[in-house]
Amino acid sequence: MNRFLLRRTATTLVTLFGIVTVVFFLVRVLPGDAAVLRAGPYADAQRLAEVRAQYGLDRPLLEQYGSYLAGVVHGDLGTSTVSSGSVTYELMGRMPASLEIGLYAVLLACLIGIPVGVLAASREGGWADRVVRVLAAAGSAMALFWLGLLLIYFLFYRLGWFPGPVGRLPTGVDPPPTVTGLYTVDALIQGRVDVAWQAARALMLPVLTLVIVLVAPILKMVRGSMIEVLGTDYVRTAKAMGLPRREVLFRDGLRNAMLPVITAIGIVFGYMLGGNIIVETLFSWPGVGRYANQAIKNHDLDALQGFVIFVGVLYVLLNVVIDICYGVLDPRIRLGRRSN
Amino acid sequence: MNRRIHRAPLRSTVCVALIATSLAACSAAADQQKAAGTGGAANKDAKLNVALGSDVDLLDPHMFRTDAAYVVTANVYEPLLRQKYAEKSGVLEGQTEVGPGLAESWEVSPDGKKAVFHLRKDAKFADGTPVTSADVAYTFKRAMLGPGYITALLPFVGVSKPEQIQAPDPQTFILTPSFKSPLFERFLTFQVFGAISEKAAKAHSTTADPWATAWLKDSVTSSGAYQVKELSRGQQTVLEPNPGYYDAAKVKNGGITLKNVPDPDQRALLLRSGDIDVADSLPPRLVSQLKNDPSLTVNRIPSSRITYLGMNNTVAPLNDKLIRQAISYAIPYQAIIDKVQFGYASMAKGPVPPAMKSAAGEEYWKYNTNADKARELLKQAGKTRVSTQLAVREAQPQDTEAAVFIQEALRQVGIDVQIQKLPDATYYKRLNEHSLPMFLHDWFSWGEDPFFQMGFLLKSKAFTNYANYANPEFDALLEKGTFELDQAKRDDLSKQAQKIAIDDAPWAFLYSSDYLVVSRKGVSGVTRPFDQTLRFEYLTKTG
Repeated sequence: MNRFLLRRTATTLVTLFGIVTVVFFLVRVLPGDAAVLRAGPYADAQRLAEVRAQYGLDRPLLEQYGSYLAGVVHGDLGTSTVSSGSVTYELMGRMPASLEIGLYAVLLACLIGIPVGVLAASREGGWADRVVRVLAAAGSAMALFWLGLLLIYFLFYRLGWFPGPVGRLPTGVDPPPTVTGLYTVDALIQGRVDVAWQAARALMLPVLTLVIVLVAPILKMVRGSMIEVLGTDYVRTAKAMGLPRREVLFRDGLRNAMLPVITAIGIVFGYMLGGNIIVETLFSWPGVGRYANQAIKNHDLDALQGFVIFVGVLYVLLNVVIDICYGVLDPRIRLGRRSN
Repeated sequence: MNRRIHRAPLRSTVCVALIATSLAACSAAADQQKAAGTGGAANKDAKLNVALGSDVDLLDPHMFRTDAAYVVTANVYEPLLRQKYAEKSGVLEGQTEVGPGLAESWEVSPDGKKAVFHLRKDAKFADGTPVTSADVAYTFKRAMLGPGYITALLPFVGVSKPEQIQAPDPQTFILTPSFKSPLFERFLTFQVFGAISEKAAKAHSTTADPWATAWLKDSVTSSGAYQVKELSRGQQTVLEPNPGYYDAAKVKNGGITLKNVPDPDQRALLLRSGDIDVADSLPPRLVSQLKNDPSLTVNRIPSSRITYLGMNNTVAPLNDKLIRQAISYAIPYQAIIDKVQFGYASMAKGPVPPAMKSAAGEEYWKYNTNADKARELLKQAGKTRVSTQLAVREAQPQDTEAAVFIQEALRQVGIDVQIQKLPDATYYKRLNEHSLPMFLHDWFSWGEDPFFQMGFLLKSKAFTNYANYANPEFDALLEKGTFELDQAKRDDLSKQAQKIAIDDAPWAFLYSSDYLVVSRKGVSGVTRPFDQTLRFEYLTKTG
């Protein structure tokens, strides 16, 4: 396992290096002069030169690349053109909001999607399976923004069951002191059950929106994978030996069916953390996706570059975690030991 | 509608220039206004929620770029002079006169080269320290020498060297401009010259950062009506009344929470549900739906914002005046106003829209939609068919809609237009290079002064003369009028210039969109200052 981790880390570093390089040079070929943007359109030549010097924009491109790379190694993703703040700091400040919404959505989607998928697979072709398949198709056919609009309109505006899309807490409620950055958790640490409840209420609609859409792929993946596994010899053997149905389904079936599912969950989770622009915009959620969206709108290439690298790192790390989960779930791929 | 972030820097600078017209004073005048509430007494302790489409980037009044940051800084930094307001259709509209702000009185010498301001003694920062002329001088020097993009502003009124800024004693502030400018007083109402606490700023400056930019981007020692209680970027900014404010008794509410709600549909929904009291930057499409909701009020005032079809006067075939006139005749103005702006706009009829002083469109306008006339002009130009391209910003859907109306109308008279939807970065890059053949654009002059409007947009060689219009006769009139101090003569010069510009048709003057703010019933005190950025001190609600 250690050797596996070591090797995995090495390839990860190469991947990250590639991401940083590609993103850096890609951003340089986009239109727009960073110095003009920083200095404002009325700046004269002297002011532009000052700005260029201050941000090192007058140095050769390779030199700029070198110092950017050095910065990234130290966790510094550069300085935002618009806010003049550290991109790393701004992204980390917004990460918990995305994490909170993504964590709950993925968790709930798994809690619903996995058992329902198993159920559908175990009764393949039966009525339960048919209902599940229709629901899954509906879920994956639903456009996220449309679903979000519908839910806001009916559940907030018409029925008033949920609070409006104004972000993480209602007006007048102060956020709990930051420990994890997840409001629900921090509030509980503080013993403020009321604040935790308010934060949870604000989470409900966006999480519900995401869950409806996320359940579909997880469920379909579990179902498909389970059907395949349930048709294998070892499951037939287990059944023949008279093992209880539940044990066959969940121990022999699900565990083996989980490999592709874990991959799917990992990708979905990465998307939740980085690319969740639609839901974050609809619900005025101050997350990472909206940061990127604003960076695009403001033509803030430094922020955008930081964001792309940040998400790249996130995906790479998620993949490492997924690989490790593979090993845990399936001893045959306990990597490193056998790969020679 | 250009309430868009990356226009903001432009706006600020321009403003300076344009500022020209407005002014400050506010409190006294507006106090006499009756609250326009519907039943029930206005509640001085009411806290109101206002939804903004943009987010605060920096609170530094010399470096911010977004509309939301503009709103916050405009309400926390108190300028020397303030604009006066008068009620019009339920909205407090900014007047051209100025009144006292931090300066309770002031004198300007007849030649305009010395202005003495007497500061009030009771003005305090939120931390309790008095606002003195040293703070004001620090602010002006920071604006002039500091790191922001507004360094270009002060020269517009003849102040370009630190020696021209003096603070001989704590209550006296003196400016010695190098020439007399009709814009001078209006200029001083700009929030970018609102007093920053010198003591607080200096306590947070370092050798590498002598103007405390790192501190001022997140912190405010307020000299104005409000102070910032909470700033959560991406979520909300909470403003509470500044207890040290000299006019605190006149602040009509107990605080404002600015919610950042990026999606306009959600802003509309939150208004309807009552979760917020006031929303800005709502597209006309949504406003036309909200006006039927009995719980809401649409506050609407004609604005001098102009939307125009720029025609590059140096690119064939648009370099031919007859062809530009033909296009001007062919445009379906009313259809665009009705279908794209949902009626929340009026004909611009020239470079100086009707809401701006000395607008002369009614006199000289001739381009009422007339396809036959357009064909005739095209024939006079010796052409039967011409073609060109029209650039629009991808992020402005209503521009694309208007472009389709224009394309169809022009096609019928023999002008083929290819619409290019460009990403903002590409659009602005090419706009700034003055290389777009035709483009849809809009503009708002802070000070609403016709000379600054025309000087920026149509004077030859002006940086923002994106259509490359050049007419020496027109330029001469602008030069004469800009610093003319006799108002009647100034208006006359302005009209002569407009006459020439309308005839030359450097643009097709499409429409002038209304200033629109939607509020809950019972909310009163919505302002429409010269910069079209909300001031909150008069805002209140019943109950």
